[in-house]
Amino acid sequence: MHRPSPRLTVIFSAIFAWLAVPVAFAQTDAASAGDHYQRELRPFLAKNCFVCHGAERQSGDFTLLPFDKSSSLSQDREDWKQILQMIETGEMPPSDLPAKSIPPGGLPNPTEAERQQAIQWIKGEFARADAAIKPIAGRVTARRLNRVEYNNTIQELLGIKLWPADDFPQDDASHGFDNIADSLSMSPVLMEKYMIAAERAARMALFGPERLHPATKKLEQLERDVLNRTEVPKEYDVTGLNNDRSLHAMHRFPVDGEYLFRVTSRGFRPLGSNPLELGLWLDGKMVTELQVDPKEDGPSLLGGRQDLFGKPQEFRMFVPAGDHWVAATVLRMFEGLPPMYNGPNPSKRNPPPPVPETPAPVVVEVPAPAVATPLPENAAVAAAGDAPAPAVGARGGRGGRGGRNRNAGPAPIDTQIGIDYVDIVGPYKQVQGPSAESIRKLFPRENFDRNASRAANEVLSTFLHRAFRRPVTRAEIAKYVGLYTMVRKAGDSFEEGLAVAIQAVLVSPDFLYRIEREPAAKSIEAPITEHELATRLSYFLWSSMPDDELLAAADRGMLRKPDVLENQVRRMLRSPKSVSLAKNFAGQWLQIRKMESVTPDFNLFPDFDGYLRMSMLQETELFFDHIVREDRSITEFLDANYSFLNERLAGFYGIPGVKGTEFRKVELKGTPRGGIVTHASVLTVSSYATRTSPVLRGKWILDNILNAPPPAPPDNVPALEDTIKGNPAASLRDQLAMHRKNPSCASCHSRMDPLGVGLENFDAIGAWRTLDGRMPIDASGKLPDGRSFSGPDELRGIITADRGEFAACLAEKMLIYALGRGLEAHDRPTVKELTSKLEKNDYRFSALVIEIAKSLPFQKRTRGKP
Amino acid sequence: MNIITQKHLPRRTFLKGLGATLALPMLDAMVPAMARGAQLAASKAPNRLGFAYIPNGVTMASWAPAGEGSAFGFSRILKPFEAYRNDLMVLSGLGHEIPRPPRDPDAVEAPPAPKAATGGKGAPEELIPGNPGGHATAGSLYLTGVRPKKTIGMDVQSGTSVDQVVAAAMGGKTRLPSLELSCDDTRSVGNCDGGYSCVYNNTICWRNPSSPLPPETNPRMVFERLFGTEDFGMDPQVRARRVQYRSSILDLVGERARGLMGTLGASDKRKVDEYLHGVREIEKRIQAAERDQTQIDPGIDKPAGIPVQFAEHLKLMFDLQVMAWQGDLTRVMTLMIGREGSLRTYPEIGVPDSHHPLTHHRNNPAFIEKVTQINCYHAQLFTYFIDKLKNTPDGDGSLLDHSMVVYGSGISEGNTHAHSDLPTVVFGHGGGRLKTGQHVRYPIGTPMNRLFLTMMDRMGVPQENFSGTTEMLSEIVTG
Repeated sequence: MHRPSPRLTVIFSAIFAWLAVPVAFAQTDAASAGDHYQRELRPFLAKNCFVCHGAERQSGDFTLLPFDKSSSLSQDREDWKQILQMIETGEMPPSDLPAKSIPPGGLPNPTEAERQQAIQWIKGEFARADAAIKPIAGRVTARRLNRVEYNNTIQELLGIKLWPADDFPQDDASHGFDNIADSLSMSPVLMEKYMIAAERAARMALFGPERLHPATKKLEQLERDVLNRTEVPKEYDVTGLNNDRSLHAMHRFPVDGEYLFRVTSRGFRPLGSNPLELGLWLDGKMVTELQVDPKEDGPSLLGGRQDLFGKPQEFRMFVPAGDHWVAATVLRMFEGLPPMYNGPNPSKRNPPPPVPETPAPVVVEVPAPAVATPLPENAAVAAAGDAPAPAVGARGGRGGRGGRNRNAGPAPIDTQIGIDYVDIVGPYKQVQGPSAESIRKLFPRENFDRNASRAANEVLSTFLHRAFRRPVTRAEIAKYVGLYTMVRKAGDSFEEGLAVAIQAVLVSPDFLYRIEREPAAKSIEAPITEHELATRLSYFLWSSMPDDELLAAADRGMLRKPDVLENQVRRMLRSPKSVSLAKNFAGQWLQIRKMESVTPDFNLFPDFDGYLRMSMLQETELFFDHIVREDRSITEFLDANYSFLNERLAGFYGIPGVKGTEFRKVELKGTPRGGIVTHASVLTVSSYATRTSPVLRGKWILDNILNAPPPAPPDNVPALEDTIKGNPAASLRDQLAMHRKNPSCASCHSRMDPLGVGLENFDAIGAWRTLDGRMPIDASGKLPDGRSFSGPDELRGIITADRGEFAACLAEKMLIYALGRGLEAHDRPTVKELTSKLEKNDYRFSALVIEIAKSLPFQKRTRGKP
Repeated sequence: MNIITQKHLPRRTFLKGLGATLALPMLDAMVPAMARGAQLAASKAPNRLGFAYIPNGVTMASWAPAGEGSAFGFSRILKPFEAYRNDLMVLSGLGHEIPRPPRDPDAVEAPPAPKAATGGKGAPEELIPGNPGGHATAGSLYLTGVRPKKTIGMDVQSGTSVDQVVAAAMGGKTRLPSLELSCDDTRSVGNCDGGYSCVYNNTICWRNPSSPLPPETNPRMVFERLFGTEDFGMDPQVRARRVQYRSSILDLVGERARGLMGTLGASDKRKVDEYLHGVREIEKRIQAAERDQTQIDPGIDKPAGIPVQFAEHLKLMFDLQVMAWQGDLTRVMTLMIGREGSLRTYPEIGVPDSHHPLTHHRNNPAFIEKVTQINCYHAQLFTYFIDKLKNTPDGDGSLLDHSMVVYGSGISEGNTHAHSDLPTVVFGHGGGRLKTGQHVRYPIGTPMNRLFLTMMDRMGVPQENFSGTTEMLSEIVTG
């Protein structure tokens, strides 16, 4: 059977045909496409396609008949893109089918020339349509601040540390981002929350943080089991940060104040050991050492061992409000053991008394109940042997604690020793009164005279200007001053009056929404105002309001000058606030925000603890931030031979020589890693909880790197699991191949699967592996366009070669994010322009941002329907 | 274990009458307060309506009860409900669309009516078999009976959900017209399901066809909605002034928004209109609060946040729901035990796999078993709620006597995304006219909307028509 030979065509260019096809081709013939369609394409379709996708049969629920006219090429562009892709990749017409699916006349078998003719004709039609597109600015609906933007803006505006939006309902996302104007809706519930938030924020700025009653927050990790050590290892982590005994969590401390940390250990240690030493860490630095000295007054619950459970050790310290990384670890775990264990710095305590002869321990085997009830709150403390044991195989499990016959010899070195939980109790000695920052932001100068008659007017004029991000009229100011006056007349103080006026500002539509002025009635489109431009820029690059300098540039009417604009963009990218791009743009583009919620099976992937989770996310954010800050080429996203690692992640990657909690730039040459596709974060978010998925990973690459998102799968397609079940002995790769035999799956999977298979050497949390179960990994593959690769390195080479597609992909995603709207046909010229500018500027990141800032849709606005 | 709140909610809430020495919580000042709650003991208790949504369908073979009528047998999944045999009805066969025969994608099919005949691309979605987005449609279709518009953009469109029809009719009688809750705090990014907006998966409640209501996931926020946020103990005069200031603030910003309307294009107007709706709702509550100064003291500490363990989270939500009904703070509630398409893992019952992928089991027994275990687990947890309702006195009986709570999913068998023969149990006596203690098997294809019409009728909000259905289910009511 004829199989199309490998072609030079890059399959993914199909999606971006309008980028790849020379304009000259598009202009070859302006004659009616109708004649052309009938003459050029229909015979091909009729001969090769209609037999399965026509009136008689609709294989895969698809028929070409609705597209059987020339106008369809422009009207149904998305469908035609898929049709083109199918023909171009050689998936259609298929070269092989199960016998029962072969149509009566046999499989169609077009010649290569016929195929090429059809392909070129469709591409030509696309190009012609695109050449006819007149770019217009388009319009962005009034954008409500999303949760991140609201928090950032409130903090910047008022100089307070408050995160009120954490209590708001989730923002809906569309087009891959949660800052899309049309999806940011308002509800009475949200309005109510805005009212509450405004009152809290205004009062915090003027009177200081509200007094909080001390409360307890328990930090813990999901129950996991650790590998019990039976002998002292040659090397071990003396900080305890990087092993599986530690607890790591990000915690938001609500206010500046003192907090009490209660660190509670778990596990058992041989009698006669020194006290267990624990480390408490904040943001990667150890703040104190604590000791747990279990009583040795007789056999513990399980006899003959130190019982480390339920003995909280306390430490109290000042912590500034905000997110902090809290860690508690077991320090020098193998030191201070009785000398018989041959560990370093042995205990000088009396040798342990002989183990009393006790009846063989009763190991309570609790069968997993059909419907498990959650463990009682203090199960770990109360009865170590009583807790239901999850099925954990070799890693011991809770039941394993009691499972050793302690009469057989000395107690094991380590039975599930680790940190059980950390309570954070507070705040105490809460810092009170408004912050210096708040006073500086609200009151125009030092020694501000609150009794002056114009004081409120002065404060509110400045505040409104900043809050509304534009000049305000006297009439507007007067309304808010009116509220102030009302409060004063009711007998309340100057600050009360301001608080009420500020509260009103914070629930005003001018603050909550970014509403852009309509172009004058006569014009179809017009430049947005300089202040609107400043606002677009600051929410694009900072996810926050314009700062004083940007606002001043707009006030002076200078912002639109190309050199001023470019300088402002460069300044903004250098600012620490541009980390918002990594967190909010990259977090969604690369889907790594999901790192906060992914739940890899902790029995299959015991390495995946809180520290690794944080480290993975941080690697990618730092990497992205590096590209931004150092203005690197965006192609480094694909092939950088460096990344940013701390000890934990370097250890996970098997890269030696990286010590400590700080992230640093690390050379990757000689390792299988390089580029974001091999970041553990990306590999984890594109996997299932229990296994890798070449399909998900392939789709991730097509969606986020190559801009060739596959269509949604049809319903009722047999799942891979079916194939797996039928062929349990086959490798995942072979199972995928069998799965692709189904023609309704093959069309997309022949593109997705090989890309994902190329990453099969990375497991579902991104660790390197050479075996999947007992199957050796074969990460070689071949793309439908004929390019083949032997593993992740060569796959990376292939992806990197497609840097044009990647540039277009990134340009498109970033334009969506910058504008806060989905892209339309009339934006294609802008994306094309951005892509070519990128290429001309060595793919420098700043070129993309600056060109977006200068682009038509960013600078202008089309008049809407009244 | 692992609950964030260190304090469990006590079983009773305390209602206090006019003149109690309690401060008005911040926004409580704006809501009609609790005189009715205090009156309940004396007068006839009102009827309540609740929905508990389980995601991704169930293993129907282990759900379907044996036999019909009053002597039916509880299936494996329904087993935990057996203790409430006389307080529930199991309804089979109800659904939201006509079932289709299963298809074999490989088979050479007899040609169906060509798709071109329906206009190809413009064909109505429901006529195209194999339409992706089964989860998005399940969630949004469940209480609305209306297929959502396929879009990931601004123009989401479904129907008004049954709970919101009732909530609108109850407006003003209770502090909150309705309460929408969810246990799924997963951030949903992007296009969630085959070209459908995430909002279709995230909520089952629609105030109107274009306004989905996002459910609240944080028990603390639920608590604050029910009981307010402010320090109990504020000087009543200060409090009264603050209420007055809030009114003035709303006047100012409302006036500004109305002023803006004239200058904006259509899409911007829609946004400002949403805003104005929010302002008006809060104004209404302030006015109602001015007429009615009674206050409620929950008598418990505020939950700190979302508990770590799913079961604890769910229980806390149940506690809050019972309190809301007990105090007559609302009469209409929905709870999504999981959002549609939920990826939650259940390691606590030995199912470390994500729920949604498991449900596409393609008849692999191991996967089916795990799905069934999740189904059983949900049912088991749900009995906590029913038990509480049954044991909470209300008027001349219990809350369960005066409520109707549907437990079910918008998908029957998760493997195939089917929207027919939905798993459905109705708990409660609905004020007395429901024929509980039976299993009714309807012909597959009987509209779910008939159940909704029946329930709305029982709630005293009879409707002629709900999403094109006009008949009620006569088999489940007496007289």
